[in-house]
Amino acid sequence: MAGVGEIHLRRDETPVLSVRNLVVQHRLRRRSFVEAVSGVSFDVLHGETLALVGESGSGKSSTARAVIQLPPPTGGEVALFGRELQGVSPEELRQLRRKLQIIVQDPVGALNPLKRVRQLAAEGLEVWSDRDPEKVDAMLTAVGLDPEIYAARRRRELSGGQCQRLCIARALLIGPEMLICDEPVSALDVSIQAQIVELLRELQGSMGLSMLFISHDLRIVKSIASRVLVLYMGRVCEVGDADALYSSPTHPYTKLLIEAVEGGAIEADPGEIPSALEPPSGCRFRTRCPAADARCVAEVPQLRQVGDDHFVACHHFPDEAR
Amino acid sequence: MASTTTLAENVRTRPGLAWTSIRTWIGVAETALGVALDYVAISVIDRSESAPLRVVFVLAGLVLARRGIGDLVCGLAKREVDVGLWLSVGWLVALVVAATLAGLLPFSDYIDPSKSLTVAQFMTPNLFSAHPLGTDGLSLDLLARCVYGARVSILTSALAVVLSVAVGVPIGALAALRGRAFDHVVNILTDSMLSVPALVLLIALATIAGRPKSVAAAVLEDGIGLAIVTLPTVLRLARSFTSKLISEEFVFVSRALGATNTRIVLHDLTPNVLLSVSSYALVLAAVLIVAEGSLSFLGLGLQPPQPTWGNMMAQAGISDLSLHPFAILVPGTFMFLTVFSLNRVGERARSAFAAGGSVVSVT
Amino acid sequence: MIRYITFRLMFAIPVLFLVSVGTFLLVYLVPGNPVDHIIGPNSTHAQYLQIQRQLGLDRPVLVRYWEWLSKVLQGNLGINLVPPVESVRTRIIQALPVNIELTIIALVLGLVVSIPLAVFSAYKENSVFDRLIGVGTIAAISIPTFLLALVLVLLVAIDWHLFPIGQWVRPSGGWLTNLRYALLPSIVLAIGEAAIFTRLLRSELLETLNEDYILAARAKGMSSLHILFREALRPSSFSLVTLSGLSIGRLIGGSIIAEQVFSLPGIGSIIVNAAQQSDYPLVQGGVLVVAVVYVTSSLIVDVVHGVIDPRVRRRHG
Ligand code: SF4
Repeated sequence: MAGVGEIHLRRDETPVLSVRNLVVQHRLRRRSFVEAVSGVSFDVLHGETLALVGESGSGKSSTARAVIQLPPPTGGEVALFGRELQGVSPEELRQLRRKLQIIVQDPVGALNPLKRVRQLAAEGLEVWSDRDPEKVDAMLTAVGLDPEIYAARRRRELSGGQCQRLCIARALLIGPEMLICDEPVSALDVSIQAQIVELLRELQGSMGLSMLFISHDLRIVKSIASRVLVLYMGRVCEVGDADALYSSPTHPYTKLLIEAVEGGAIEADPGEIPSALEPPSGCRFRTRCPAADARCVAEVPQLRQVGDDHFVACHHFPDEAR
Repeated sequence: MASTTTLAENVRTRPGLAWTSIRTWIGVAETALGVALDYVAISVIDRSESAPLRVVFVLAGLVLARRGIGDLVCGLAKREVDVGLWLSVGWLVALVVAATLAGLLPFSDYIDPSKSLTVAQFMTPNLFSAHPLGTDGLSLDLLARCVYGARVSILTSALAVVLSVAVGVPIGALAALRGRAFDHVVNILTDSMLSVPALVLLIALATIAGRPKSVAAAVLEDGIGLAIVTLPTVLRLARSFTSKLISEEFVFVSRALGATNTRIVLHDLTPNVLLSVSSYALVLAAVLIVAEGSLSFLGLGLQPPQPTWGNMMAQAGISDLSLHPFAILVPGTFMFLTVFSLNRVGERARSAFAAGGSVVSVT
Repeated sequence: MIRYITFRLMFAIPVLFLVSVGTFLLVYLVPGNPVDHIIGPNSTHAQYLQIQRQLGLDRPVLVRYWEWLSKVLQGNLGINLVPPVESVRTRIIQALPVNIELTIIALVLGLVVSIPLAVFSAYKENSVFDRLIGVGTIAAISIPTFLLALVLVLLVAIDWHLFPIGQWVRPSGGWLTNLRYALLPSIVLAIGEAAIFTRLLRSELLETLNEDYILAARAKGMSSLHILFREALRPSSFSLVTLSGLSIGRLIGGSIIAEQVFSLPGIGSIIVNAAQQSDYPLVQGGVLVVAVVYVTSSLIVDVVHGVIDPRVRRRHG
């Protein structure tokens, strides 16, 4: 099996979102593929925020897009409230997606340049033939865009942060229960980032949202996520309760990321990332791992439980001795 | 992008007050001198003087006056203004207004030579006479003929642009959306049309349509002919803009919000593609005005005595060139200024409104 | 490589086919009856039928297209309607050298003028020179060919007596004389081309200048002008090939006007005069030849481009 195990999935409750053994391949030319995601599994419980962390090229965004089926994944299952999203008719999928919304990295590009703020915010509502101007204005106010000032503006008259607030309002207006945030602040000024994250956290609390929060920046993740999943080249390295993961990072890659943040860098030095066209055999991190040995070349590591809610996919950490 | 450039232009250096007021006066002086120079060159220097001298004088006067207006406006506005752009806009607006109201303007006769028997032929332009731009070989007023000629040019090219956009955009967009087979077919069709030089195609079409009998017939026939010739360009524009737009993030988000294909086409693609293609409208119109002019210059468009810029120049012909250059230069200047202005303003519209800046060149 | 060439050839075939259908339909679509144009109003019905049969107008369109096409493929373009009645082929063969000469001179002049202008304009980006080039080229593109032709005639030929005008002397009548008559029309055509070349080349040079290897060359201390000519112009020269190919089509269109102004017996005058006299077979033949020349030349240009620049091949492979 290509995956790295499902031991970390929680079977006692029905999760809001459950993803099993997700595989995403991108077609390059006629016969060649890149595998962006190779068997990733996770689940998100009600009101929980799961962060997907990894460098660029780790498959975070591909995962996000596969989850909302735009485009659908090459393999694996995605279920929303226990309802499988594979093999349903396009119309059903459209209906189901109402509960599952996404915030993307480029807030400016995510807005139709010809529409004005109020129209943009109401886009989702219109799709579901709900035209309630009061709802729209209330939501705009809630995300911090005073309708009296901003209603008639177009995207070029807004700042990046304001665009992202608008995108959040638009997504939330149609009443999703699960919100995917794909690098929601990485395109914004550092000074704005914290405000947007804070806004997302508030709204999550008041609306009872579950969130999948994707970021390459561990410091931002720290302020919002309750659980963290570390991805490297399309595979899970480590997953668990955020506090546990921060206090005792176990996988060499997690350690590298956390050290980099503590050293003041936003991202770890990427070193020599192998080509995604020919990923390394066995553990994909082995080309950068100080502890790599023959076993790491031969065998794909499986997730093992190392703490209460803490799982690691590595042959040598924590020590085999136990 | 757009907002940053306008910002940069607005916040350009603002020099001290003294300089701006001096600059205003320099502008006034330059303009006055330039106009005077032109006046002398056109009206006072005797016709027997050598023409090159006059041309040099006229050009020098024009350049000076243009500089003067630039300095004058910048001095008054106390900042750098793209005067050339505004002059171009001004010319186009004035031309359209004059052409629309031509019937109401106090023109001398422009079409019936029997009414201008008392007027001299080939009068030299004199801004303070009844024939400000002179008369042609039939003693008809050149200014009036140019303004009526503008009607034909403007209406024909506008009709052609509207028609080609109305037909080309849906097909081009479909080619981008439907992919492969349809795209190939459209591609081969456009290539076939582009493989005949536009003017040759126009002549062929004019042969089919025959000589137009009235202004309305000319506008309709030439408009349709020009629309056919422009169609491949519009198709390609629409195709490339559509394929650029469907990969835009806002289309992705619309889909995530649950928008149907119909809604995406109506709300996201159509308005944006139309705006992008329309931003090319002025540049296209410039090409079309030349094409219409060429056609009537070749005697295949509207026939005299009805005036078009092209047939006015053809009528004056090479034989009159050295003796009565104004009969050709006046309509020629109208045409040149119009095409130049359209190109100038069009380039600007294109860089401001085309999705992802300008990509396709119109030739 | 072979795959690319076949791909390109396969693409040219349907285009040529459509062009042939289009030109064939040209005659078919003409309102009124071509027979009426030939015979006088006083002719009998029998005469009418005879001419109709002569022209083959009594048979179905598809048959007529097929017969027309097979004749055309053998080089037979039929005869024209308006006297002097001649073979269309002879008329066109007589006219083509004029266009070939004008096109070659104009193309060469255009390139010779535009390359240094573009390089210098890119070298001194945003300088006064650069901006003058910017406005000047728009102006040159905005001048309709016939206006430019007339103004040049007025200045250069009539006032300064630099060139003789008003006729065409075949190279057999002395190549120097021939050149003197050909030069002014060629200059008229070259000005527009030079303006377009300069604009495109300049923007391309500026783009190349920002690429890494140029920046590296700069860092090594090579002088900018040297870099422009030696390093940056080389990748651009690929697109010069494409440009020249494209401009062949424009030059044929433009030469129609120039031929008219300078009274030159080129293919443009043939088409225009035939169109004015509703001499359909002649229009048809002229349009067909022009289209075939254009399709073939762009085919050759694309293939040559593909041979020198592997990137092009890959894009289609
Ligand atoms: S499995 Fe081996 S290579 Fe991979 S992280 Fe663990 S020690 Fe390093």
